Amino acid sequence: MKFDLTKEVVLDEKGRKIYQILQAFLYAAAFLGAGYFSYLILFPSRTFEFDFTRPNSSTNSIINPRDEAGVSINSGKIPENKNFYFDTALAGNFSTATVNFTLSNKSAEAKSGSIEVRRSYQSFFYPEGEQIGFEDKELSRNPGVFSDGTLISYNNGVYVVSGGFVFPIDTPLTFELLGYNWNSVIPASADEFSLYQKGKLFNVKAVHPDGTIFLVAENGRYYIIRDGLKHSLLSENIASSGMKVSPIIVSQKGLETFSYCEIRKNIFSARQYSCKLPVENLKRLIGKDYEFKQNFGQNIEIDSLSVTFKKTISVSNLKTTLREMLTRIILRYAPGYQISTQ
Amino acid sequence: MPLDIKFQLNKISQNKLLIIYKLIHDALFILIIFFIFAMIGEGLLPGIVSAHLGLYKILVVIALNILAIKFVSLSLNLNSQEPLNKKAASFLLFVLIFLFMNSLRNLDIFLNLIIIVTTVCIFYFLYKTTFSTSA
Repeated sequence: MKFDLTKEVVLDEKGRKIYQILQAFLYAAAFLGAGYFSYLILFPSRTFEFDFTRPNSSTNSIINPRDEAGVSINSGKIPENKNFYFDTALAGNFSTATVNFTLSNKSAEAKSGSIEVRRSYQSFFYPEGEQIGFEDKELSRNPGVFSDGTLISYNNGVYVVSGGFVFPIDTPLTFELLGYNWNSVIPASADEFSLYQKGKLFNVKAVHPDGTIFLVAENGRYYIIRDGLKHSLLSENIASSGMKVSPIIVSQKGLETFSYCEIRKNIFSARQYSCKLPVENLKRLIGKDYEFKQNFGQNIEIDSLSVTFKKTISVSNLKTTLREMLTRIILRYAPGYQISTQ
Repeated sequence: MPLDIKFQLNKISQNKLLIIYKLIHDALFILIIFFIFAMIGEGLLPGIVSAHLGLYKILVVIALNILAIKFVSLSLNLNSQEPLNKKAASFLLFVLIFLFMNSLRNLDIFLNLIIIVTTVCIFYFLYKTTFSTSA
């Protein structure tokens, strides 16, 4: 079969054969290139980074590197045997998460260390505070019409109400990743909306604000987020009283299921280390946030940190990616239409 | 150099140029197909292609390819006057209209109408200017 876009240009016999061979190579190379590009799209990887030499840079995509008390660690200095935490937020399920870090020239070698990861929502990882009962009349500190944690819509936008502010949600995908329910969105009038100040934009890295209510799927317990803690609520009556929002479903397993790895030094570099965590077991857990916990056997100082999530090539990962793409397309053209992800 | 050897060398060189001419047309075809699929994918799922490859890079390569075709045509003294392929043009026009309408989806209806009317006028004048024969 001859495919010739320039039929008017006629070659001699030898030239025609050379052209056909080269043409076949060109189309084969294009086909392989398309195959590789399809691989990148259908089995995507995501990389998150933090540069401790530029901790305030907007290119840092790793969230909130901190110590056990929640104090930010922007210098990269991690004391011996102290836990170091950081988060990443992303859509989709992946097979492995590889943590790479580069030590500062001033740092001692990392002779031993381990990393654990678990998956849920950042605010559900908060430490547990005191239980809230009927005596607490301040379930909502919101001065306006809507209680904290309420979802409202105004002028083609959806907002979360909290502490006198309304926080716009950037895309329908972010809305879904935060675990919100489209049926919970309440239309607000201009007068009601004007009672609030506009807060920062909520994107995929956002943390659920104060007033958010979680419902643990396994045991039916309710929690409310307030001031960096999660407080359990006495009963469903309290949770539903005055609250115009459906609770966000979370899983207890998200707090208890970990993946683990030991750090290894990279062969070709004296100061680079890596640790590959299987995260396939976290696939069925609810939540967009991965919380990493690192622990080293000596004082070290990190210059840069990165996490790369990858999917292995498999039929199930392919089906998952296609389903996620379909969900995104539907969300883009018909937000609010929910399809089964089972 | 004897005249017949020079003639033979010129003929080989011209054969190579003809093969290159045909191959860069094939390369342009591949690039355009890839660009169309990339644009449709990007229109449906923003970021799915541009996260891996900037769309402007494909356009730069297409532009370089077209320049290469022009250069080789001049070297070979080729002046092909291909008639417009109506099927290909209709398909490309359909893709263009789809991408255009997709980008206007969330706009106010009156703004939408103004943009569509203005765009149709611009394209009409561009078409007349490009394809009109001189008097």
